[in-house]
Amino acid sequence: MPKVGNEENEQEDSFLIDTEKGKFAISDGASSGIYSKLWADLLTKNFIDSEEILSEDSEPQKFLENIVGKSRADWKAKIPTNLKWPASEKILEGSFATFLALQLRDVNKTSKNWNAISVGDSCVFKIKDDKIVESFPIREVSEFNNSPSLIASNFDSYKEHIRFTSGTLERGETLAFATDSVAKWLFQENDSGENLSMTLEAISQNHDKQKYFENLVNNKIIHYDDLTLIVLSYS
Amino acid sequence: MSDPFGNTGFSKAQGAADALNNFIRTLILKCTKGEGEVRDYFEIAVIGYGAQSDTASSLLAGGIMKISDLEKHPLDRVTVPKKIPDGAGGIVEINEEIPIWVKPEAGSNTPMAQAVNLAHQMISDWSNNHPNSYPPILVNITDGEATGDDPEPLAEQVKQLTTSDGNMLLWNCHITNNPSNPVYFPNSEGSLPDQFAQKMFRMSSQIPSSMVSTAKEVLKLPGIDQNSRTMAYNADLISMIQFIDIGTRTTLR
Repeated sequence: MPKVGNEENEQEDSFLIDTEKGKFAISDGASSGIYSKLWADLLTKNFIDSEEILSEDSEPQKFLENIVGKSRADWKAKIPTNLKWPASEKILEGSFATFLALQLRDVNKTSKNWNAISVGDSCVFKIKDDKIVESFPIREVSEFNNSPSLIASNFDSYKEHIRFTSGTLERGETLAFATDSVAKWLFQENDSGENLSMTLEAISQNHDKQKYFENLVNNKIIHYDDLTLIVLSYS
Repeated sequence: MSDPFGNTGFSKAQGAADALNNFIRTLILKCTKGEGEVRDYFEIAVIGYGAQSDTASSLLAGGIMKISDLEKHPLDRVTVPKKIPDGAGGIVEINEEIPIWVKPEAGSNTPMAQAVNLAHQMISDWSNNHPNSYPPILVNITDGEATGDDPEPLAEQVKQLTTSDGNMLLWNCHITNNPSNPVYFPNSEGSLPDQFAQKMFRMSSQIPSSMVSTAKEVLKLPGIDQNSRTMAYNADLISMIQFIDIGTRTTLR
């Protein structure tokens, strides 16, 4: 959902899922730039559409370079050519976004493997027995800051900040994907002893999820930001 | 303000006007979001004083103006040279037209009390209409030699204005002919070399704790602490812009 008070078209998070391919992608466009939503959408789309499989044998930098390269070409083609100042000056800085992509593959009837690649502070959590047992790339809430690494549309500094990991998913376990503000909240819920399975189930059953999260933002429990949460329960 | 600016060779009035125009341009860029629309995170007023004897007046046609209106309605456009890559590894100079909102006007007097009084009226009205806003920031750019009434008591009144988020802040940017080293965010009056700078210190707000780390990072000054005042002394043009910019960074987070 967009920031509280903003319109849906002002939302700069992006997420895409292809359950058949086992692909999940989430991206948080930086509000300091312009066309950040477009950039975030292109990163997630080009991961989902890519024929390349993200596996233990992947070379993370090369894998991500291919996605970023395609996204840059698409971005240049979609940016209007008749921008006036200040947009014409702002676009020279480029667009920026975090990126987290995960590929899930079957091992057998009750378990799966996954591989994930990321730049920035959008997170994936593995929840087992009502608690976070694994998180990537952020391991604890103190690691969040105001300047996460970002993939830029114009230059390559993201290459120094690529993270890659592998994991498993068994029946009864859950993966949750979240952009930073929701991710931070999940860490805080977990650290204060809350039953995360019940929390996520309550959200899932809530008929007005937007209002639920608006209340959390208005009570300053979640930071004022675009919010994205995707929950995958393997049952 | 018609005297030379530090070692630059151009007048303080031109320097102040350039700083303000650069500041407004930078702020517009910071507020440009989404697909290029300018979002009204700020409203700005500019008060000039001393150009016409002992008066102060609002320099923007709309008084306190939304940032999007400033973008749509500059006072004028000027052509400046700009160096850009030529695509073949070299640099080429082009002429670029940029918007400006204030023009330099220098006078012989510095009726700072009139300016602070006018600012107090404008900010008081604005705060009443925006009670939950981030507190206004008043940035005073001057050579410090106030003439006429003492502005210090009025500065104290200005610093008492509040919104629900706290007291408004008074920043003073002091320009002098003295080519000694500039001082930013001093934390003691005794460290300042003359009575005008010391008055500026007393008139300035204590730096908010939320701005301390930004100020240290931008100006590379580890000595800035919670006792520092929002003041710059003998600032050059680029540091003046950085100084003013610090005040907006925290509010945009």
